[in-house]
Amino acid sequence: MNPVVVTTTMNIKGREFLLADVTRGMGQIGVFRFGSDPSAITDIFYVENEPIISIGWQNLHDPYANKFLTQISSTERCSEYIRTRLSVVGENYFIDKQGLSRSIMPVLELLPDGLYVVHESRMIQSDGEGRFFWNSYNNRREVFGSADRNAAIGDGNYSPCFLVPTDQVASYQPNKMNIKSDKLNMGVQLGGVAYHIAGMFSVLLEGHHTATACLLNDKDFRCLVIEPISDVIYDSHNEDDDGIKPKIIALACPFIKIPLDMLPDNSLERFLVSRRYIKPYAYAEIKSKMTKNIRSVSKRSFPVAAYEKALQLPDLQTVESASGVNSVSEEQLAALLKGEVQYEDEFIVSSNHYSSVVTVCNFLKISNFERFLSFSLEILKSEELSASHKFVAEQMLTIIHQDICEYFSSVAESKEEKDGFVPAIAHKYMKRWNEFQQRKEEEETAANAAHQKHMDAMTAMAESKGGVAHLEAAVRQMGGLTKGM
Amino acid sequence: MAYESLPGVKIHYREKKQTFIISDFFSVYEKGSDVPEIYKWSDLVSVSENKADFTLNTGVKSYVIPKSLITDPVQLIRARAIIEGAISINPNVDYKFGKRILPPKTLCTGCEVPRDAYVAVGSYTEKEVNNANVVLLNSGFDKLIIAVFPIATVAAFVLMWVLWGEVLNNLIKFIPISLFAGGATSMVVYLLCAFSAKTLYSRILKEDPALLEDITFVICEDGFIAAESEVYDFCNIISWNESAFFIETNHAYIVFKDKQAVFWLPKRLFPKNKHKEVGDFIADRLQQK
Repeated sequence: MNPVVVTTTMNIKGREFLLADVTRGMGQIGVFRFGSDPSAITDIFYVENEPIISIGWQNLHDPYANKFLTQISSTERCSEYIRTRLSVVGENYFIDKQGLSRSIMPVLELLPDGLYVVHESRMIQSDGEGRFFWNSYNNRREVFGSADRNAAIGDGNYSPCFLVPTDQVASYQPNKMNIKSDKLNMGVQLGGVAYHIAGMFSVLLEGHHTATACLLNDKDFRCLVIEPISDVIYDSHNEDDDGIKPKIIALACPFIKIPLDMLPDNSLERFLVSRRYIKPYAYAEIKSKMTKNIRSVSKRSFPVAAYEKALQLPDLQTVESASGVNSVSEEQLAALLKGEVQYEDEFIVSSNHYSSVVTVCNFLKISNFERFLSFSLEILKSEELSASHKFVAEQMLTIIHQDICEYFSSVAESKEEKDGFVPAIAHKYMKRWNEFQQRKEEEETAANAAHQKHMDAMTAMAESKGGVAHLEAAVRQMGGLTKGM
Repeated sequence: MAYESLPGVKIHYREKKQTFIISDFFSVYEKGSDVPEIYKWSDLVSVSENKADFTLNTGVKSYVIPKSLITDPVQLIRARAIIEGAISINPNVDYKFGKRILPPKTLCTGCEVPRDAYVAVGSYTEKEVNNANVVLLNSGFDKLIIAVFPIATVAAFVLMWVLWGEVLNNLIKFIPISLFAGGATSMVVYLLCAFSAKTLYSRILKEDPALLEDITFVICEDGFIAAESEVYDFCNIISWNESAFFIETNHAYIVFKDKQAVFWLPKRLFPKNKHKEVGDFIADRLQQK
């Protein structure tokens, strides 16, 4: 029987998303529980018959306990059928603009029965601690921010934006990444598909090279994120003191809380009947692959810039802090720059100015880099806001940008006697900037040399075949090749 | 949660206009309401199962689900497995259940059954359950006689003293009659118990339809289990730590926890030449000579 997916576009508190109700789903992508001994629970994220990510629990009864995430295998080992279904989604949505519901359908049909939220969000190509995502999960380790509940965010909503790879390190191909870079630079919109697995983390089902290209080209990497609904929300306004828990009033995933009465007919009942950890059809095969090591040997390595740029991405604390704000107007920013914490008799963030600046900076860093840059520079230029200077300057330290360079350069070269942290940070920044420029020049020189060498070789080959036509053809071919490099 | 892959069970209670859903959550639709009351299993205070119904107590409300509403025995077995699987990871929920032969799934922990496990599938027969129960009774009979015989003897002596008086003159009559009465009473008590033991199967059958189902029996290094084949997924086991000792009867191996039999393994399900091997394996795991 064919899968049935009913989708409903919803908008709750300005958050637009697609609610997908999957019945008779193919169960080819999902999470199942591998062993349920309370002291050693491990969930497995699988695709088809491959165990991709192991999710180890520290404490089943503590929603604030982080988990252990480890990459076990790769979706490259899955069938062409699955890979094609995954790859068409990005093309359908980001390039062909087919609409969210229609674009994501090939993947939704692969899921087990249940309710899912699908939304488009910016994703961050790191593990939340500044490490490039693609090779950050090879060893079993506690991943901060992977707990079901986040004490810093509390009841707020957030997008699980940190990425966990499903392709192995060896599958990285510079040419493929260069092609994506070229497309991005030509203005083509590219993106990926992700599936939420734990806390602030989502596995990237499709778009590893695009994610890397976006990182290297300073472009936002956007994904269609699928979040299974598995949590419930209690009525916090009706809490009893006698130990009796209040009523459950909403279903939830990190991105959104949906009140029970807003759910479409029958969806809630189907959600309640379906189970969260359905054993996949290929359970025996997946189990047998759990203990087999994946061979991940490759001569290729990720560009050094990918590691450096991952350091500049918003980290876990930044994202947690930013989730406390939904939007900030220019007027509110102006008020903060005047040292005020209120705008039109309402707190912009909180009654603490420093805390407000930190939260707003984090929010802007994630949502709009240009606004972050101008707001941060304004703060640094304002002598009245010196309490916030250290935080803002440190935020800028990791970002390689011409405007920041110009500001720090003027501070570093200034002959005025200045106290505080900013001059020290400015010197540090300029040192970094110079190193970056030097390495960039070296890389360009090396790339030009390689290009010239290749050209010479092609010319020699064409000459040996004796003919201008051959030479022209070879050069034309080279043009095509070098364009992709 | 053990048994987390079983499909949820939906139960309609027409008379009370309620619909119950037993799944990852316990949910109740009351009298035509579109929005259910949803409870996490950890929110429940107690769950009990008896011959007639399941009772789930949330601390504020108590929901009674008559078993008669679940006409398909497989659905009943699933519902119970989901409840017990949920309670296995929420031990704070007080759980009471009626007579049964299969071990409660609340004792289960997740464990992949290894390939070298002893696995058998079959159902219990009335004869082997009753015989095993009589053996269990006999093994404890010495204590029963020791308790009943002196009490009945003294009681008979006192009764005669009260009725006829003159103890010293009638002592030669009272003593043998008292001893005889004590012995007879012990015999009657034993016969009653034996009769009761012989009807164990039919009594449990009234409470637990699982007795008629195919059962999967597993013993392995990590533990043992007997569970309905309909719901068993070879991913759950009861640790040997949950057992104290075992006895071997003509028909079965019986493993005990706190003097209660938790695992009955019919010998019939294994070839005769394997019986000693299986017995030795259990003895080895329980470090019993």
